[in-house]
Amino acid sequence: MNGVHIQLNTRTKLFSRTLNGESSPNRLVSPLDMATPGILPSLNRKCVLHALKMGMLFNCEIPKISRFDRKHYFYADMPAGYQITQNEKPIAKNGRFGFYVFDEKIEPYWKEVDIIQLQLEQDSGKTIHIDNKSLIDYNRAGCALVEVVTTPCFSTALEAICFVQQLRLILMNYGICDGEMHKGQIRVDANVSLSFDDITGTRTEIKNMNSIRSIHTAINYEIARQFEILSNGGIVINETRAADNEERTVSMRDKEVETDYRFMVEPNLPNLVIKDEWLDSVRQSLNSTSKPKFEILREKYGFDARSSIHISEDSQLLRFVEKCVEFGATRTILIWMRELKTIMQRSKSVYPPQSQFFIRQFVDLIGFFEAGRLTRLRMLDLLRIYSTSEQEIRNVEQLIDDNNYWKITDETEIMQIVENVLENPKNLKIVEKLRTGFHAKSFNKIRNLIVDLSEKRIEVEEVENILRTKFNLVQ
Amino acid sequence: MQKIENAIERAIKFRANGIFVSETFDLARKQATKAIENGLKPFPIVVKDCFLTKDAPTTCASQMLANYIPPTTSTVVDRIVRKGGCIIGKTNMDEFCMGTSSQLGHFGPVKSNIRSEGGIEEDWMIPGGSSGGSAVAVQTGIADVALGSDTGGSTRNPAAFNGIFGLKPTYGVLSRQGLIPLVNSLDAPSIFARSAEECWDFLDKTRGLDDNDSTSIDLPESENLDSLKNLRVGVPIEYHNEKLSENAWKIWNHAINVLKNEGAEIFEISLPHTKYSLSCYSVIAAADVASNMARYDSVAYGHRSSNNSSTHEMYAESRSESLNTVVRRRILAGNYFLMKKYRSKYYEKALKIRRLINDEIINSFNNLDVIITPTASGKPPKYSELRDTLYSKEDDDDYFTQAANLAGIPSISVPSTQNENRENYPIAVQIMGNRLNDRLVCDVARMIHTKF
Amino acid sequence: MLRLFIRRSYCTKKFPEVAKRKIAFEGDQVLIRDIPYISEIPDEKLSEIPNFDAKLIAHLERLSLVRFDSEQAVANLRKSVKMAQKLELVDTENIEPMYTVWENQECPVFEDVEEKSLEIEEVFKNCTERFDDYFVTPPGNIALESKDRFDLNVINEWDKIGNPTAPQLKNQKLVNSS
Repeated sequence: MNGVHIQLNTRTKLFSRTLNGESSPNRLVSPLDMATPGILPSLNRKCVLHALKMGMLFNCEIPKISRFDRKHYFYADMPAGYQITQNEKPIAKNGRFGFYVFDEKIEPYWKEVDIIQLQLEQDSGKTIHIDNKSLIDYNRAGCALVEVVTTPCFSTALEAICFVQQLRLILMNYGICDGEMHKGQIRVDANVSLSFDDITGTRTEIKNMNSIRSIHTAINYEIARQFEILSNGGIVINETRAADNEERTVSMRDKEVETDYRFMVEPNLPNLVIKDEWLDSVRQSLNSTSKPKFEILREKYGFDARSSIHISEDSQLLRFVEKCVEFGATRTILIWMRELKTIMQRSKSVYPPQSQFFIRQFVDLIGFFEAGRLTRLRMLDLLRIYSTSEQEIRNVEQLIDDNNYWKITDETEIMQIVENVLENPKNLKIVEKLRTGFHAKSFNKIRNLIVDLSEKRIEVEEVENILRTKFNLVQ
Repeated sequence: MQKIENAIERAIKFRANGIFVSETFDLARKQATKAIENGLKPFPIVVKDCFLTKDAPTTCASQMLANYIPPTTSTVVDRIVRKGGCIIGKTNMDEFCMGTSSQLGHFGPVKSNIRSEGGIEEDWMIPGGSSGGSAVAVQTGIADVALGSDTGGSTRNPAAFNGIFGLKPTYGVLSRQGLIPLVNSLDAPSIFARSAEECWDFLDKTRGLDDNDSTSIDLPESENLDSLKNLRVGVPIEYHNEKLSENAWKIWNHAINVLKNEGAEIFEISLPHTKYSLSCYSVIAAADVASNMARYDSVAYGHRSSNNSSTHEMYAESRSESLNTVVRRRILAGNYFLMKKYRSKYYEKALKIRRLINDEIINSFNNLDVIITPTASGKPPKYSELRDTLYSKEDDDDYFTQAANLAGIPSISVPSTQNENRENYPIAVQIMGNRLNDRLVCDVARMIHTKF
Repeated sequence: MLRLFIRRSYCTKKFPEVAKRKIAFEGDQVLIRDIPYISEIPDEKLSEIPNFDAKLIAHLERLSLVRFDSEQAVANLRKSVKMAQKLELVDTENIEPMYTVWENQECPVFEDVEEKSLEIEEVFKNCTERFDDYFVTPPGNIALESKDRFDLNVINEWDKIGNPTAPQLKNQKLVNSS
């Protein structure tokens, strides 16, 4: 079982009407948040709606009645000595979440995980460790979390991080969570165990990893650590570990004496009966929200899984691509975006450019290229011009026309240029060399001369093909 | 205003009885002034020290909270103060409401004023518990009404032992916001007074839904009862058990005769699971206590030990130093009953038996209007007697009151006033009604009062 | 409707409970059975509870973060468990646990609108150790050490060899009011 803790984007906390936000320590604390004796919890409706929305997004069963439980353990940042959570009767259960697994090296593949349940629960406060003491801040105590509990179905750290990554984008899209991981708004607990011959080994729990990167390295570290122990005939201890600053896992507390949470029904909260109007309101909200950007890019515009996510995660990039797509571009812009990026980085300009004018030209240029009207070299030049110059106000078609940058398609004209170069007395020696066989230096020289003479209006490959034919060269 | 000053005078006069944990005379005066400004008649009240009061310490008679000043006031206290109540002081009690004698709190024992002619230095009558201080405050005339709490009999028992009325309303009718909990699903803020009408009046002033308490409910309006004719009264045979004293039985029987003579119909009934209510209650209570007391970690408030070796060591020392033996025993027992190994055998089992106890009482109301039983096993014991039983005598009295909490029904203790042939100690009977019949039980109590 | 209780004479030696028969006031009818109902559940009917060992004591202290102060305290716990054994005599097949009085009550929900939180001085009003605006605890989440300090034999044979003492009263005092 694994858990992802999602901090809900609501104005106030789960059971108290204190602001859910950032502030100097202990300034967002109500009597309930600091476990003042005798103070009772009052449930935030928005939190329920968010949880229901998540339930619907993940294809969960939403029982009519759910309930809150107390989970007991002592920790400095848990002032009541228990957390109010949902254990036996959660707000949603038996769901499914599908996502793509990808990285640079592998073909993306689709994976579905089973979601056991979604639990509404309280967040704890924060602890800072200094010198020989711990400092406690209750600002976060009592904030609303939904814990997404999944079956142990991830085979690699990569699968785990793709899951978290896409989960995050979806939650942000529907306004459920702000997704700022460095602020701890999404925290992951992973249970790692190595199986051998179908026997599942002892598991350790890695807690509170809060960046995609630390999840990946911590899980991989842990797998390696367990593998080494087992390979040397040792035993893995069932314990809780934390990811440290050097992306290793370290033991937190000995779980060997298993924690007994002594779950108890929370007596101060009657059963939560889900009203139809809540479900209707959530459904309506889902229908009127557009799908997450990465899904649109992938499904509507055919971008590959990896690029879709990469672009969605960067708001500047996303804006750029959306504009391109608005102007009629397709996923072929990806290659040119890479080129553009290189060009702009070299010239120390900011990538991606936000100028609407530029984007229009960019899209048009690509269009011309794909129609066979521009060579690659000319494309790069033009990109350079438009991305670095602030003065060019002509549109691309105009500029190309004015300077006659169009690709030369006329065979005769091409051959004319070729002959011009070959017959140029300056090049006699090089040509002679080529007649004897392939010499890279000479070949390239002649080729470059031809391309230059054509003002980059003949494609490099085409010149090469002509030369090879002419000189009967085999590569 | 004079009423308030009189109350303060009396409070000072009875200091030896250990009624108060803190005296809040200035607060009372301030509240009186404010009440008069608002066109209300101020009246003195006392509040059991397990109710949060923003302007005064709230200790639960424990060293753990000996210096605790809460950031807010409990709803019921707030409501009664708005209607003119002036708090003379926070009353002494059993530590964290655990006990039926009000003896073992951090601020010393509460001593009853009954039979105190020989002095109360060496020995004294037990005032009952856990709301002993509030009961004695009313009995000595410091206040006409007092606020207590009742989880297993903590208001009805001291009412019986002090010869006054003690009303435990239906669960949920009085908000629990600000009542430091003993057992959340059994606790009820409760009322002491010298008449059933005053009990009802206090309830009426403070009842109703509270947004701060998600388990609170509204009490629907109900009619006054003006005659006992045809009232169907149940008498459960199990309440005459081996521990019931001669006089307690006689008075109970007499009260039933009174009802019969006034035209009520008497039915003998059986509530066979009554004998399990003690065990059932003690398991459920211990579990809840273990949970509710987990917050006393001394980090943000509460007594803190100087032991600094580790967090858990500090918690354990702070708690062990400042919680009395009764409280500690319940916490440890509660965790025993909740342990994975034992929870279904004890905790879950107790919850099922709670349903059986509840159902048999609630079902009996299909054919009955009220049930009448003794409130306690007999007269209040002396401190020396109780001590010699190692406080186990408390169980004998809990037997009579606990079932009403398990079922959440209203119940009022009605003191006997007729003293011939008796030892001249307070004895009372208990009138229980179905849920939400709070008015009815008060009316019946009113109508039999002084007749038995 | 009145149910009359039929009186029979019993030899009080043979039936000791009859000796406890109550007598009504003159002029009163006997409207409650005058012979007491046996509410006591004899210990013999109950199954044995396991002996307490050091492991259990340590476990409970860790779960509770409270220490037993003597053999008597542990024996008292054992007694509480013994009392709870009575529950096993009740048949609860197909009975649902009852968690609260109003089982059909629905949890109320509240609007996501903020109310003023506590002022920082109110938050720290009852705090004994403070560092800037933080609460302070000693380091580490080290599990409570269990110190083997009780004579288990005394605990488990308490009824036979235990020496119970009543808890002491504390001195009467008032809180120093603000």
